[in-house]
Amino acid sequence: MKKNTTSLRGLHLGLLASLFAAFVLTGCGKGGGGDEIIRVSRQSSSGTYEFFREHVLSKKDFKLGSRDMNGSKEVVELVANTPGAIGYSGMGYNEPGKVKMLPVANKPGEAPVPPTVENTLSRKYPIARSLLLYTLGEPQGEVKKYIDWTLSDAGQKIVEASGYVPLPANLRLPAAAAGPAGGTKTTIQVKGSDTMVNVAQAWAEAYKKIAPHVEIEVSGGGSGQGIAALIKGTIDICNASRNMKTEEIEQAKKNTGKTPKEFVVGYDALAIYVHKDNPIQSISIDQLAAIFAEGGSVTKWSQLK
Amino acid sequence: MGAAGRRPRSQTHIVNSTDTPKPAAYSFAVREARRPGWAVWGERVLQLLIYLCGISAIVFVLSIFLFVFKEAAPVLFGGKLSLTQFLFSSEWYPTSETNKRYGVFAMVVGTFSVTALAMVIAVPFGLGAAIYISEFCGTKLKETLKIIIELLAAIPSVVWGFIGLTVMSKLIVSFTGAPVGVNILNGGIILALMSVPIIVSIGEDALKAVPDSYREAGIALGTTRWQLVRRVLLPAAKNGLLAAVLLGVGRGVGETMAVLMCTGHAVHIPTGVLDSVRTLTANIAAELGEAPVGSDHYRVLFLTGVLLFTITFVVNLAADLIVRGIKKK
Repeated sequence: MKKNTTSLRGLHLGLLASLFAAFVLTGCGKGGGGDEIIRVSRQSSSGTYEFFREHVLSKKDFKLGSRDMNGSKEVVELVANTPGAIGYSGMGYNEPGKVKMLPVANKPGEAPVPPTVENTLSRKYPIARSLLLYTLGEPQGEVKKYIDWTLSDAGQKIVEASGYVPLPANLRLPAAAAGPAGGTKTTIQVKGSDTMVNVAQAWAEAYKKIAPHVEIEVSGGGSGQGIAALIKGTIDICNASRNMKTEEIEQAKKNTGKTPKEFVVGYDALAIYVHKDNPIQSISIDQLAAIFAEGGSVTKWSQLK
Repeated sequence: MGAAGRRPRSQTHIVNSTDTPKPAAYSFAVREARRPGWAVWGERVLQLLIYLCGISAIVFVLSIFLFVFKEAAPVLFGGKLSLTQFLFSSEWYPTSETNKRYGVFAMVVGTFSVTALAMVIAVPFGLGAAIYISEFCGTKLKETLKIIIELLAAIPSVVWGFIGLTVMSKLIVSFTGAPVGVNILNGGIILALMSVPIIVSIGEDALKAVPDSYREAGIALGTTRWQLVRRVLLPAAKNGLLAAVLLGVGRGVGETMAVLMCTGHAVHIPTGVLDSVRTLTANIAAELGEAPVGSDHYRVLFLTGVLLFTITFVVNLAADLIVRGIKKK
């Protein structure tokens, strides 16, 4: 009896294993096509998503079927692991050696511009944007001290270290003479742009050293979530990689009675990332729109030649 | 229930408050019932509390459903969205600047395809493990396996999602040559690993519930152990095993975080297991935070919640009716 069961058990396990293998293999026939463009996009609460839609797709909708990632870092990671992928994300998430940032031409005939610091400052790079902070009304007390600090040399050095473009010297604030030392224990809630989350965290850490009584809590979620929280009045500072829309400003005024105030804290070139082995050298805005926009005709890399 | 519980006590009150001579036979009962007032009231309060705990589940489920439905109702009855378009269009453009469209068909297909694949993998493994644990393995191994399976059930879904995103996606790309590793296959495998513990523990309970006399009768007739399982135990426990599978399905439909991370989150009707999809739950999780409260987008997401509620309700109800079917037999 015992022998019988063992052989039966073996048989069934073998059957299961081969069924499973067959199942995986039948799915296998589909993939492989290296020429297909894998579009990597962001979820719709992302400021980067809205900026891309406005400035690259000229407000048209995205083609359905893109892989919509939750964060800027995930976009770059997926592109790094996927030979046929193209994605967009802040320049601060570049991983040299794993992905390639493509120079972008404004029109097909024009010379493509690489996303460098100079080209971002001069706005030669066609999809450069500002990194913003929003507060409800004029910032007060510790929040004001903190924002002033981010606009000083010390804060701007962190913007640069995070891979973004700092403000030119004439737009910076002089470092506070006595420093923001002393004061009662305060917590500052910061939420919003995922593009800026690495800068905001680096700021929070550095600021903790000079003003230990101020606790800065940073969370991401996307500019859209940060702006929604600002409108509700649940946070002190909103990070945003896009401007607040008129209706959002109106809503904030209606909800809280205060007008949102905007601070430019740095610049970013919205970089177009492809896999490091992708032979493509540059891309134009029109080509990007044809790849990403609804009704766009480009689905294969060979169509871009 | 309340009325039935109160009757004996009110009788003792009458007995206590009157000084009429009592029949000797009752004297024991009366002495037992002579308690201070606070004890009687305390017990009454306690009974009420326990009653409230008992019905709280009903209250919660109903109020959650009412809340979700209330948030969704304006867009459903406002005439702005047709139900057929919502259910059968796959164009999901909730934040479009030119033409907002809300169609969840692709996500319904996504949810069902990931769940179906998960069940194709999890049901044989889960039921096989249940049969092995209940019928074949020794006591020591049984205890070890049960503890490990419970551990498997306790792994948070975000950890599963992380494994899918980092480990599984690379494996899938290198084994199948798929362009992207986050797809139905990835989500299905992860979801299968998550529902196996449920299927195993409920399936094992169902097998354990088969009376030993069935086994003894089978052995007395000279069956092998496999014949005993196949001809006697499986038919006898089939309702419980089906319920185990359906609860696994319920887990699959409702799971959010892991599938959000593993399936690629692409609104797309899949044509094979290597396509990325988006599920209903993942879509709600990703978009509810940004949707302005009270906007159409917000309400449509709640309507998606009603749809999910309906799906899981039907699955759970089916499981429940089937389990009830066993008890009648």
